[in-house]
Amino acid sequence: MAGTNRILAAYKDTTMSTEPFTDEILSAIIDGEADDETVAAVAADRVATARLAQLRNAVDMVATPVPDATPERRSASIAAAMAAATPASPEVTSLAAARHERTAKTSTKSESTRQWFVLAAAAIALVVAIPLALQLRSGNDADVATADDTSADATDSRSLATDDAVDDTADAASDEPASDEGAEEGLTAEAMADESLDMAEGDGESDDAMEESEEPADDADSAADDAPATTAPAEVGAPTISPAAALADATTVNSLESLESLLAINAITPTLTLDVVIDAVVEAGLSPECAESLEETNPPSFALASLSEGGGETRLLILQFDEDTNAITLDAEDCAQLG
Amino acid sequence: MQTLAEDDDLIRAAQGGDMASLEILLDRHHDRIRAVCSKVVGRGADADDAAQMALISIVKNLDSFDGRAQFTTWSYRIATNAAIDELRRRTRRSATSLDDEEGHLQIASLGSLENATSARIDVNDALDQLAEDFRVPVILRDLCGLDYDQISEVLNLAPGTVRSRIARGRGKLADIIGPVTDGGNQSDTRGVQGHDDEY
Repeated sequence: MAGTNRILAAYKDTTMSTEPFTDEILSAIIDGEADDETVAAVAADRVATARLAQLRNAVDMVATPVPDATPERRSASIAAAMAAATPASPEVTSLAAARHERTAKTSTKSESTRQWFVLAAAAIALVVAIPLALQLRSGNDADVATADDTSADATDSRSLATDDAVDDTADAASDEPASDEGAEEGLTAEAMADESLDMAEGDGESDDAMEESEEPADDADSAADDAPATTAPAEVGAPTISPAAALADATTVNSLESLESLLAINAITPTLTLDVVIDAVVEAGLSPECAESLEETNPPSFALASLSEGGGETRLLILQFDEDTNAITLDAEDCAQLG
Repeated sequence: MQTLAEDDDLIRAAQGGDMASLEILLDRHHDRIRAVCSKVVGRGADADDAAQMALISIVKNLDSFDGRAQFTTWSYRIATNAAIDELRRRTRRSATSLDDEEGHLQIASLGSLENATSARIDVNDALDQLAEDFRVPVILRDLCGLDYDQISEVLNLAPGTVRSRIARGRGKLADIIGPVTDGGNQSDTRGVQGHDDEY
């Protein structure tokens, strides 16, 4: 209202000119934002009244309700959104992201873990060896007591070292080579590394258990079936999904445009390794030659889609993602690029 | 009767993983979202695609919805973005198919709009001729009934800009649609300050 009055005031300042009412003033009248004085002034102006009617007509036309979607299309849209909720739900996505991040961290963590093991093993060897040497040399009770104290300190130190080592390796994959490094440092370090490894593996198990618990309970639903419950754990070099499951999880679309739309909003995430893709292609009865030719692509992250363009014919598509998760779409039969 | 509290409850439950609540929420808002998409995009099939994309986007971003804005306002923002994306995709598709026979047919089809002035111009055709910057605020105001402040929030524009774009958009739309005929009398719009710049 205040804005309109300012406009009107400005208008009145120039009024005495032949300036007509602007669309902005008339539009404010339509929205009920003009004051009575403005409304009256417009009503007294035949040209302005006509323009106002013209604007009102435009408003009425825009306000005309749109025809509803067909019930089938409406249901399909909601189902598609529900399906998107399941495979790419925030929980699953965040787990995948966390897993990816964890994998990325592994290379840097492993370096620091190796260094830590070497230092810890050397320190433990020192605190154990020195008292033992002293004990052997002196053989008196006082020295033994000192050695016991020192051993206790060493045990504490080992415990702390192990805790820290576990902290460092907890995020690492279970094939962390730190244990091999530790083995070179002797039995104590090896035991420590084994302990860390066991705990790291244990962590991994609980992680997996957590992932399972976060999956929707009613996987029987078709939407939930589309969820990458089996594809999510697939990491590079660790294909855990069966080819049949990969095919079953493939996003089904009825046009390339629909596929592009889904890709545009990141509704399809790359969860498959090339090995799984190759196996799935074979499972689908196609030659693996095309998929195998993708071996040199970098980074190797993929998804599958099933394109059903009518006529009953379905084509298996390979979606090859780059580092920015931009995808190119390939016909799984001959690797011809589509879209 | 739908209330905001009910929406809030559904949203909270959906954010907690309750799929049934999510489905009710989507079902409740589908028609409203599709209506916006339909007016922005114009064509029915594209509107359905845009509405579907909007629903998917709502699902994927629901966790980030913190309730500071009304869900309707938030979802209108998503719907308009989805519709605009769909428009741009359509434009790209049209651009890439210009060499096709189909492309020529499309051009012919668009050209035929100019010959339709003797008939009542369809509002979607008229909106189609309106630049996106004007079309969306007009739709949010006149179809969705949002006030200027809400539109400002949806489009992240200053209220003054929204006010101006709505007025100019309505004016251009009125010019495209033509004068109101009342009992066969054509209205005289001479002397009224319209906007003759490009649509």
